[in-house]
This record gives sequence, C-alpha cells and structure tokens, in this order.
Amino acid sequence: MKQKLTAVISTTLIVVLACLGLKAQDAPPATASTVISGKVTDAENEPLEGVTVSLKGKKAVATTNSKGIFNITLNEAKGAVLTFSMIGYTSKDVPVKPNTFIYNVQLTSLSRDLDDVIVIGYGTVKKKDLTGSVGQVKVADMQKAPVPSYEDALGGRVAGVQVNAVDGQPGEGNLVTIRGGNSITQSNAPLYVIDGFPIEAANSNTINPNDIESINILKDASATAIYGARGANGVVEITTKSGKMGKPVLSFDAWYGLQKEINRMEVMSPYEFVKYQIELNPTLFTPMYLDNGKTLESYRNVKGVDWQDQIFRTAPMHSQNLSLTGGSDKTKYSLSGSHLNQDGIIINSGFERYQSRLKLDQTVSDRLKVGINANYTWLKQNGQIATKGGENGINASAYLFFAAWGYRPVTGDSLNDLTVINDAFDPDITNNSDLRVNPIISSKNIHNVSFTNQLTANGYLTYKVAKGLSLRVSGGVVRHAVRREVFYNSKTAAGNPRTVYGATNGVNGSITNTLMSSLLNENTLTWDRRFNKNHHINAVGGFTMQTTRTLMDGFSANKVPNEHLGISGLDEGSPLLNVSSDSENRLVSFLGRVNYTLMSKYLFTVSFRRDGSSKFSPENRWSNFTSGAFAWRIHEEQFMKKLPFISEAKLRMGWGLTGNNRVSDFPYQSVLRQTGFTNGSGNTTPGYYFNNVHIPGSAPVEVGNKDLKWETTAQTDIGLDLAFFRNRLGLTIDYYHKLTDDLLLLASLPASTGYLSGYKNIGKVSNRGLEFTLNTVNVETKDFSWSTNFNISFNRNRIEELNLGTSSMVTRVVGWNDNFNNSLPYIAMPGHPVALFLGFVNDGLYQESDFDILPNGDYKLKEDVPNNGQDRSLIKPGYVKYKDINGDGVVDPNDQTIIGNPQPIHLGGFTNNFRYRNFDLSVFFQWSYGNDVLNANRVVFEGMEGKPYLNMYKTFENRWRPDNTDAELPVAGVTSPNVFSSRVIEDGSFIRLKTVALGYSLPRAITKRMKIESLRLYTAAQNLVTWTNYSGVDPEVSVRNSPLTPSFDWSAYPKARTITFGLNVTF
Amino acid sequence: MIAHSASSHKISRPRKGLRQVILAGGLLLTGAMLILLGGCNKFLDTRSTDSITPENYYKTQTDLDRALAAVYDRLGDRRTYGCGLWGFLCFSDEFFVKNQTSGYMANILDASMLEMNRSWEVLYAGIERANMLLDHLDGAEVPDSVKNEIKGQALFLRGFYYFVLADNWGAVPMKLTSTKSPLEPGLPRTPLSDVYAQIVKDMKEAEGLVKDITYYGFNGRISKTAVQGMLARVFLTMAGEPLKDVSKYNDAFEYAEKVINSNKHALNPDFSRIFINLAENKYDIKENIWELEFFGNNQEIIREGGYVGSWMGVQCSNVDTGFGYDYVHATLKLYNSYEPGDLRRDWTIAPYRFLSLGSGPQTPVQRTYWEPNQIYERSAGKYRREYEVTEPKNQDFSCLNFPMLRYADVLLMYAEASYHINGANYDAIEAVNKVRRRAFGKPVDVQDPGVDLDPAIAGNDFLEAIRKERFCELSYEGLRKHDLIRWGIYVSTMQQMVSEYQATMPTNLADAAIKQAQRVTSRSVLFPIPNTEIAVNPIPQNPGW
Repeated sequence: MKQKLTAVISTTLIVVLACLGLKAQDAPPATASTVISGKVTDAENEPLEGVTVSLKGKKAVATTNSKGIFNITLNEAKGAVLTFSMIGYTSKDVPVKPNTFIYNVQLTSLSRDLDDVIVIGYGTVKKKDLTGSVGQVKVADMQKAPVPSYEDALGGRVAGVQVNAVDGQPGEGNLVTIRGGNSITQSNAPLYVIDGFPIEAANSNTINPNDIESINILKDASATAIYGARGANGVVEITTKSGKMGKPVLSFDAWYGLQKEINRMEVMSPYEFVKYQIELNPTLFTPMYLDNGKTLESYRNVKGVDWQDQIFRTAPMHSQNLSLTGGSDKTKYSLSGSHLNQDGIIINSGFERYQSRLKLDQTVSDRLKVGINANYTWLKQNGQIATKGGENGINASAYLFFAAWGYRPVTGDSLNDLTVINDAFDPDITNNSDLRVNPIISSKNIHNVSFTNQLTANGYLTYKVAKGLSLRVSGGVVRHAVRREVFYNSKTAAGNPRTVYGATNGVNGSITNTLMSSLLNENTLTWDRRFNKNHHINAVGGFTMQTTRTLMDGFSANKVPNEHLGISGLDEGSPLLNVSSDSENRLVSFLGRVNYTLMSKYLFTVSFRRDGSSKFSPENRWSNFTSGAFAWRIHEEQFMKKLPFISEAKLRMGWGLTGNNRVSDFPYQSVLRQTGFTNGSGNTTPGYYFNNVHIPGSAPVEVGNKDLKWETTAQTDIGLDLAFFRNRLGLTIDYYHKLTDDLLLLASLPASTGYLSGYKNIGKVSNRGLEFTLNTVNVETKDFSWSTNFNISFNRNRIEELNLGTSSMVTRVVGWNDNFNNSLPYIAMPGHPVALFLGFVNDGLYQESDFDILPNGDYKLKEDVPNNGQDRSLIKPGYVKYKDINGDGVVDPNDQTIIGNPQPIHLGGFTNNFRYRNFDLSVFFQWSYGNDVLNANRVVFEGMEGKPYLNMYKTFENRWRPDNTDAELPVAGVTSPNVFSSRVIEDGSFIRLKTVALGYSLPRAITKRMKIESLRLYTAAQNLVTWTNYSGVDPEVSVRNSPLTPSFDWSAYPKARTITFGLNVTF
Repeated sequence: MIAHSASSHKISRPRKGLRQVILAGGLLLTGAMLILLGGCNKFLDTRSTDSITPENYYKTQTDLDRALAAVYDRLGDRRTYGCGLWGFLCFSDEFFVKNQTSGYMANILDASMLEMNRSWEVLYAGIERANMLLDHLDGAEVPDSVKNEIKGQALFLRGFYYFVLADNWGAVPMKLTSTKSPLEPGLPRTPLSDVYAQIVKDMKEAEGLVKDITYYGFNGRISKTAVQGMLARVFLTMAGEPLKDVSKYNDAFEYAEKVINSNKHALNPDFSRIFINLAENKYDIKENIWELEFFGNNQEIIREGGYVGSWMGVQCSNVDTGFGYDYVHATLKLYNSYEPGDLRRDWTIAPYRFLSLGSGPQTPVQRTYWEPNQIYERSAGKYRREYEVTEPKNQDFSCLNFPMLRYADVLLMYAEASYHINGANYDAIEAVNKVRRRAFGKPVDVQDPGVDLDPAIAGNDFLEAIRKERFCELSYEGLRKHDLIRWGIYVSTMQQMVSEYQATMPTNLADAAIKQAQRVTSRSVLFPIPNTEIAVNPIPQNPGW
C-alpha cells in the first residue's frame, strides 16, 4: 500500500511538473542550465534503479534512484541527446526537445522473454508463470534470413524439436517431430494451432513467414493436454502479427536470392566410363568405342556430356512483402500481402506463392471486443518429383537421378553425342524395361503441377461478463483446395512408346482435386482473479466442435491424341479411372484448466479435456485427458536473496495424458470396394469377365475394428529454468519420459485372415530425453552487443512392446528398385528404436586366393570359403563378400544383423547474434550427431547394377581389377544378391552453417532526411557450409519418410545453397 | 479520483461478479450438458458416405453378382493363374526360364519371396471374399434359386482356393467364416486331411447347387461338370503324395466318370484349335470345362488382362504381332516325349520365333523357324498371341483365357483312377487312346492301331503311358509340377533334369537352367509358409525352410 501511495505521489509530481513545463511555454528559452528529470521504468512499468543517464558526447551523468527518478542538469539543451543505459537492458537514446523537461523512459530488458506473453492453448501466460515445457522460437532470429516457409528455418531452433527435410524439392514440406516419435505406423507430426485454429495436416507453405509474430512449441503433457486427443505429438502454436496501437506503420520488405546446389555427385569421366564399359562387356563395347583406330587414350581429353551441368541451374528466388499495421485504442488492424517466386535448382521446377492477410480487432464497448483474421494463399508447385518414379516407379531407372547420374557421357561416335543430348532416349538401349530417359528432355516435358488455394478465416468475440470473467466465442473455417495436374507427353518415359507404360497408355495424364474443409467453433470462459497479493487464479473452461471434410475427385485419361494441347487435351483421350471420394470426421470437446499461483512462488496447473471423436465406434468415442503441473519459483524465496546473481530459478514438474487419433475417418468399419487402383501391375480391379462381359466386383478390402480406441501417451517432465546476472545468462534443462500405450497401429495381420493389415491398439513405445537451452548476453554495450543461443537435445526412442508379442517387424522399401523388393532393410524390435537398419556386414571382396583354379581356367570357390548369398559357382574374384555371422559356411538371410541406427544421439543448434552500431550479424549452426543413413544411390552407382551404357560414380574407379586387388569396390560386371549391406550404411552426422545474415540499418539521421522510419539492408546465406562424412549429396535426407523407414537416400532433390539480398523499409 | 473509484469498485463488485460468474458458468454448463446429452453424440454420428460396408450390402441380385465376381477375380491375379501358378511358381521338367539367375524367375525361393507371399495373400483374399458372401447370403432379398446358384459357385471357389493352398503349402490355416475384427487371433495349421475333407465337402455341396454348362453356354462360370471334374482332380491328389489316401481313387473314378457320362463334353478334333480359341475369345464348352477369363489389353479403365502368351509364349519383340518375352523355354525332355507324327509337339513347343528386323517394340518382325537341332532355344508355344483378337495389343497383358480344366484331362484322370482300382482295362485304355488319336489328327472315336496303345498294355507300363500322355497333352497348363508331386517324383525328376541339362544343353543356356533345376530339393514339394504370415501368426514352418 505504501508503495502504491509513493507511486501515486510520484506520478502526480511528474504530471504537475509536466504541466509546469507546458506552462513554461511562453517563457524565454533557457540560456543557462536546464534541469531535466523523469522516471525510468521497465516494460511492466516497474521503476528501474541504477540506470545511467548520460548526455551523448558530453560529460553530464546521472543515475536513477530506487523509484526510477533521475535529475540531470544540462548546460546546453538544444540538440542534446540523452542516453539511458543499464546492464541487461537495451540502451535508449532520447533527443531533448525544446521546452520539455520531463522524460519518462521505458527500457526493454534484453532477456525480456521472461515477461513475454506466451500463447498456450486457449489462453496466454507470462513466461515466468509457465508450469509446462514450452519452447519459444526466436522468430526475430529466424526472420533475419528469408526462407519460403518457416519450417525451413525451424530446425535447430528449439531443443527437442527435430525437423527433417525429405529433400530439397521446392515447396516440399518438412517433417517435424517433437521429443521423438510415439507412433510406429501413424503420423508423428505435431498438431498445428494457427491463430487458435487446430489443424492436423497443416501446409507450412501457406503461411507467409513474415506474418509470424511467435511460434511456441508445447512439448510436455501439462502444456499439450488441453489439446487432449490430438496433443500427444506436441503442439506448434503459431500466432500471426496483429495491429498495434499507434500511427500506421507501412513496411516493405523485398529480397532477391540465388540458389545453387550445395553438392553434386562426381561421376566417371568419358575416359573412365569407356574403360569401365569395355571391362564390363568387351564384345559389345570394344567395337562401339574403339573403332576407326580409336584407343582408350582417345577419350582422355574428351569432355563428353555433363548431365548434371545440364539439369542443374543457378536459380533465382525473390519475394516482396508489404504490410500495414496500426490502430487506435479501439481499432487495431494489420494487413499484409506477399509474393514469393522460387525457381528450383533443377530445370522446370519451382514454387510460387501469393498470399494476403487481414487482421482486425475492434473494441465495441468496455465489455465487447470482436475481431477477424483472414488469410488467403495461392501456391503453385511444379516440376518432376525427383523422389518419385512416376507411373513407372517400380524400376530404379525411372527416377530422375538414375538418368542424371547414369546417362552416358559419350557414345563412341562424337557426332552422335549431340544426338544423345537431343534425343529423348539413348538410341542404343533397346530393352524397353529400362526406363532411362534423357533427364533434360524429361525434366522439361513432364508437366507435374499442383495448385493450392487456401482460405482461412476466423472470427471471435470476447465479452467481459464481469470483472475477471470473460467469454470468448470463436468460429473459423479453413478451405484447402489442391488441384494436381500430371501430363506425360511423348518426350517423357511414361508417355513414349519406348517404355512398356508408354506403349500401353500413349500420351496420358490426370487431374486430381482435393478439398479439405474444416469448420471450428470454440467457446471458452476465462476467469482471472487475484485475491489479495497471494492468490491468483486463472481458470478457463470451454466447449469446442470441429468438423473436417475431405473431398477428392479427379480423372485420368490415356491415348491422348493431341499432345500439344497439354492438360486441356485430356478430354480427347480415352478416360481411365475416375476418382470421387468424400469423408468426414468430427470432434467435440470439453476442456478446462486452472492455473493457481500462490505468493508468486508456487504455481499449480491442472487441466482436463474430454474429447469425443467420430473416428471411433460409439462405445469408444469419448476419452478423458488430464494433466497436472507444479512449478516453484525458487528465486522468489527469501533465502535466495543472498544469491543476487541468480535472477531466476524455477523448478517445473508436470505429468499428463494426451492422445492421438491420427487414423482414417472410419477405421471401425469394414469396407467393400468396387473400384480398384490401377497401379500398372495388372489385375487390381475386383471385377471379372463372364462370357466376355465385365461384371464389376465388390470386395472386402478393409476389416474394421469396433474396439479401436485412442492411443494414449503419458508424459512426465521435470524442468529447471535458471537465469543469472540479471538474466544475462539463461539456462533451461528438461528431462522427459513419454510412454505411449495402446498404440494406434496399422498392424500386419496374418494374410490367412484375408487382410494384410488392420488397426489395432497394440504395442508400447517410450521416449526419454534431455534438453538443454542456453541463452547468454555476452557483451552489451552501446555500440556492440553479442548474444548466444545454444540448444541440444538427446532422445532415446524405444519399442517396449509390439503387435501380440511379435519379436520383430521388418519393412521393405518397395518401389525404388524392383530388384530389391525382397530385401528388408528396416527392423523394429522391442528394446530398440522404432527403426534400425538390417542387413549384411560387408567383408571386403573375394580375392583370387579364395578360389581353386579349375583345369579349364574357371574359378571355383574353395570349400571353406562361405558364399555371399548367391550360388557359389557364380562367385568370381572381385565379388562382394558378406560376413558369415552364424559361421555355418553359408551366407543366407540368417546372417543379417543390425547394421545401423537412423536415430541421432543428439541434435541441436547454435546461434550467435552480433550488433555493432548499425550492423547486425546472425550466425546459426545446426547439427545432428550419430545418425546413420542408407545411401541406396551407392547400391546402383557403385557397380552393383552393371547395366550397359550406365555411368557410375567416380568412386567406382577404385574397383577391383586383377591389378588393383586392394580396391574397395567390386569388379566391373559383378553380380550379387540384391541385399543391403553395411557398405551403404553411412554416418549421417553433420554440422551445418545453416544461416549467416548480415544487416545494416541506416542511421536515424539519414532515414529522417529520407522521411522514413527505418531502412535495413541485409544479405543472408543459407546452407553455407556442411561438415559431414556422408558421401552422398546431403545427409539430411529421408525420401521414404515414415516412422518405419527413415533416412533412406535415393534420387533426392539436392538442397540448395542460397544467397539473398534484401531491404526492409518502414514508413 | 481514479484511485478512489477503483477501490470502491473493488469493494462492491466481487459479490456481483461472483453471481455473474455463477450465472454465466451455469448457463454455459447447462448448454454444454444439453449438447453433450443430446447433440454431441448425434454430431459425432458421421456416416461413411464413400464406401459400402458389409452390413448394408449383399441385398440385391446385383450386389450378389458383384460380390461373386470379386471371388472369381482373385484367380486372375499375376501371382495366381494370371501367371504364377502356371509360371514362375511351378518350375518343372517342362520348362526353364532363359538366362534367369536371380530372383523368383530363377526359382530362387524362400519364405520372404514377395511373389510367393503375394500368392498366399491373394488366395486367402479370395477365400475371405467367398466367406463374406456366404455369411451374408441368407439375408439377401432374392429368390432361393438365385441364392443357390451363387452359393454353389462361391462354395466351389472357396474349396478350390483351399485346394491350391493345400496342394502348394500343405496343412494351412482354415477359415470358414469372414473376419469380423483385426483382433481375431491367428489360426493354427489345420491338418492336411481336414483341409481336404472340407474342400470335398464344399465342392460336393456346390455340385448340387450349380447349373449345367449348357445352361450358360460358356465355360467361365463354374458348372456342374466343372465341379465334378475338379473333384476328380482333388481326389486323385488325395490318393497320391503326400496324403496317400488310396481309397480316393474310387472317388476320383466316380467323379471323372460323372463328367464323361454327362455327355456334355467331348474332345475338340483339332488340338491347336483349343488354344487358338483362347486367343480369339471363343468358347469351346465341349473340350474346355472351365476356363479362366481374361479380357482386354489393360489400356482401358477395366484391367483384366493376363500374362498368358506374353510371359509364356512365342518369342516376339513386336507388340502388334503379339509380344512374347523370351522367358519360358521348352526342354528337350518334353520335345522328345512326343512320338513322331504327334501334332501336339509343334504346337506345344513353338518351332519358330519372331525375329526383329531392328530394335524396339514397333520394329517389324519376321517369323523365323529354328534349326532342327535347336530345341532348348524354342519357346513354349501353346498360347500364341499372333491369334489374339484384342486391338491394339499390349506388351504384357493379353486377353488369352487360361484352361483350368479340359476334357482331355478328365479322360486321363479317369484312366489313372481306373488303373489304380482295376489295373489296365479297356475303358481306361480307350480313354487314353481318345486323347492320343486326336493328337495324331485321327478321329477320336475310331480305333486306330497306328496310334492306339497296345491293348495288352499292363501294369506299370500303362501307368507310365498315362503319365507320359499327361506330360504331352497338358504341358504348360500348370499341372506338371502338381502331377510330379502327387506321384512322389518331383524332386528326383528335377535332379535328373540337372544331369540332362548338363549333358544336352548349349552352354549359353545351361548355366541358368541347371541352377533352376538344382534349386528343387527335398523341401521343394511344399512352399515355405510366407514369413509375413509367420511373423504375426507363429505357426510352424514347412520342413527344410
């Protein structure tokens, strides 16, 4: 009370002084000394003691007292500038205005994040009052270097959040996993809550990264349990910028960048290629390459065709972004519009976005406030998908990089080399199951475009029912429409009669439309009361409903007669499969949460959610999710006052249950299907011809599980938040343990049931981990500042139990290379992570000493030398050897073992921000350590598939020859069983200098003259340097991404290194 | 002033506030409860508008026809009779696959082999489709006569699927009702005799329900004689290895005789015509009792083509002529088993191939005959795509039907069963002779000492004559491996092939073929139980796998 009184008195005093100042307007200008006074406060209007107030360039210095009041005497007030500085706060310059003597100044804390208001589910909380584990993305750091999508910059920013790019295809999404994957067969993606609207399958590309105000990642159960059935994979809360009170701020941001592939694979030169081809098949290739007196040496200086040169390009990317924000005390608005155009680094690929957002908040009365938030995004993504083989996807030769790496550099007839560039197919390859197509021509001709239109509109109303009690009603809609067009003309593998598919279908294509529309209504009542100084209660209760409907339609046609018409000529072809589907799911929830703070020291949170989902049968529809958390702000205790260097110490403990309902919309129903999907492998429709007349069939294809229920994750989190030296050093440590039970598992069923899989609640998975985040302000002076953020996280993922006591689950990677369909490179076993690499252990090569030489000169493997999985008689010197692990003299599937682990031991990020006068520099490193990658490219391009006319990686130069027996790679023309071995499992650890951003803000004096508020020029580089031992293009790759088949590298679109230049002007 | 008014609020508001809290909270809660009790569950009662479920299907004649079509459908999958069960899953002494040294085409088989796994999956999918139809048939709103006709076909097909399973995998899990939930426990292996008992039961019941072949006028539907003929095959199988229930020769005889006495069937006087009809989409319901129907070129929306003639057919690189992969080659043993003048030889084994005049699938080809000494070079020639009527043709998929049961087979089964009951006898010899006469282009019913068997043939000689006749008549019809197994000579025969290949085969072909034959060892009489089954249903594996 006494404090308040003092505050009131001092405020009054200031007001009186101010009035006096105004009154003094008519007085003659001060010629002698002027006394200037005022009050310095922090962001919460608490007075700051010990702030240095100095006169810029002059001597006069004053310090604020315990009430934040200062007095300073100036000899010459005209043109003077006061500088307010204090450790831990951003310095502020205030020019002295004539006839103004009172200067009340607010300083912002450098580590002001303690006072940050954090958006959590159905409410906000100050960071210092948090009881759960919530990771805050430093959006300002992220935005320093422009990227098309915020997810591109998310990796390494927050401890416990793993962001994996599938590859570098423009517009391709990333895979975000929070604190390890819970689910074995279902999605591990978090729930996205964008401005309060929860979406399970969010497309990060629809959001303009510049619009983002904050990204908070709710990690532990006490934070996510309020999202109940959808919270188990963590929650990403994204809030977009709102209007702020003040004059209109118009901001324009534009950047232009150039992208280039980071890395490319080195393939054999024409000389090396010809040498290899002749070794492979002298009868075929000697006349082809060495006719007319040519020798191998003739190829020594031949340049040949560098196919990678032809398909890669330095690709521009640019973006313009305009925003207007402002408002009065009653109306706040924010408007933005942006355009982004990214050409891919592979010809004819790219990504484009137009987007605009309107946000309006209106206070209608003291009690009533309404607002709307609408966003519209148009996206276009085009280009051949490098990781997909298209319609012929079962064969390795159908993939883009099979051709880009493997297409031969020389034909033996130098005149013909040009033809090779211009022909869609290599004229010498007659086998029409070889789908190799000229990568330049096919990339240019494949029409694979998807257009996305997304409209998001939310409206809300808050009504203050009584003091501390407010009702919020909100409604929203998301309409996400995707139109995908695919067209294969006669210059593509799938449209040219050279291939079986092309011969069957001729020119062909398809159009598919998907419309996802989601409607949401949420009603919450929040009660926030403080009972005297010691009790603070914030309670929220609510009721929400959401429906999500997915419609899909489309058609395909083949034998299109007029290919030059492109996709619009599809109607002239013969119609193929028509698609039309419609599905819906609904969710109803009751939720409640109570935050109770006792004496600002002891924080309690209890939350509850009851979810009803249409995805389960009426008996199992409803489920309850509860959580509780406790936090102790130790530094508020009296005994901590003796340790003044500790500015914050908070212990957090939480436990809670969350769920996962990521299953199809009707998993409890058995399904009969009348149409099939023609996948090129023949009879896949369930009908039959009787008497040459077709009768469509109806076949049971899915068996429903009426007992199916929610998957539940119980998570315990213990965390410690520490800050030292006035928050200049902040440390957050979290330990968590998650146990996911009753896994929603698309379990393999015995085929004798008539079905291959069905949903069951079977199995358990645990994730344990440690997360450290360190924030430091290393230097903070007026001219120079340096701050650092470092985070590292360790996660141990373990299967506790599998399907009905199954001892293991092996998984194929089908579709990348049909020769490997019988290989099972992944295994899931209880006691181990969800996926491990399974295969043979490479044991070098067979040498001549392993063989007896028969009288006819043939080699015969010695009796005591094991085979390599193929017939002993086929094995020759220089063939690959695998370890006979069980020692039975025969290498067979029983000799397979664990050959790698795709899970990293730890991963993290390291950011340094520097500021020197008007320059700012941000340097960001990201790493992943201890994870393995299966480099399937090496299976094909290091000699194992000795197809004629196919070039190999440069590394294959070091192959076995009678005069090079120490070689690592096998002899030319080797045959081997189609299995994966430890040879192609590589350490995928990397540390990447991911972002360097340098900016320069024009000095105030100049901007003032230019009549603008501020101008910042910047340049930024992405993916600048990567340190790794991985031999492939990029270790951050996962082209068959699913929890069971991570880190598989085959024909991935390389990531780009990007350099951008930009400017940001605000008016 | 401001401070004062604020504090006065503080004093007066709480109670009022509290009342409002209670009021608003109460309202919200009541509203919520109302919705919870009434509306919520209704709100959550979504209906699947996109797919049909078993509960609301199987009502009309159309429903039943479609459900039955789906049961037939699994016969035509690539891993069943679309290719695998007369092709890559039944290596025998009638063919080798040229130059294939790796994968399933080289007879490399283990429990993880995808194609073999899929074959198992497809057969059980067929069984589930039949079970689902049979489970729901009673509730259908159609006359009993319709129900019976459908029930008969479904029962037969379920029995047939189990027959293929038992024949290839031995004692298999048996399921006679549809699967209701993924939580149902895995089934144990049912003893082989019980599986066969059920097959017989299903087929016998079907016999009484299905229609005569003449009612349909085509042979793609299961007719009474198709059931009877197939029962003869089932009984003959039961009488041989591994079940060796010799009493079943009587049943085999009885059922083969039923077919013969039905007078609905006869041999087509022209052997090659049988197979040309398959390509011309014509039915010969006299000779072919049951045919598997394929249609179209898989270029249209409905894709029901098979690999008959492409995977196994005359070598040809031109799609319009009728593409034939150079995979399935005849053996010298088969070639030599035809007597001089046997017209079947140069039909069953193509004496020519189509040589490309350039490269690529559009290049014209020329019919080119092999040199007389080039035997192993020859393709299987029974299914010739040059006669295929579909236009345009497809490289892989053809409309050629596949003969599942021919009258010639019934005659030979009749003879074999009869021999085991009574030894060589006139009727049995006459049945074989009918097949032989046709083979030499003679009238089927006119005795012809030039081609007839020695009327005095007796004992083992007669049995050998029947076996040889089956080899010559029924090659490339998916029966040879099955015959060798039930005769108990599969493994020994294939081991002999190894030495025969070594002795007689050109070196450029020998390597791969020898390995393919060598891979047949004592375990090969049964396939391994697929590891995908064992992984989730831990039943014992077959011996040796």
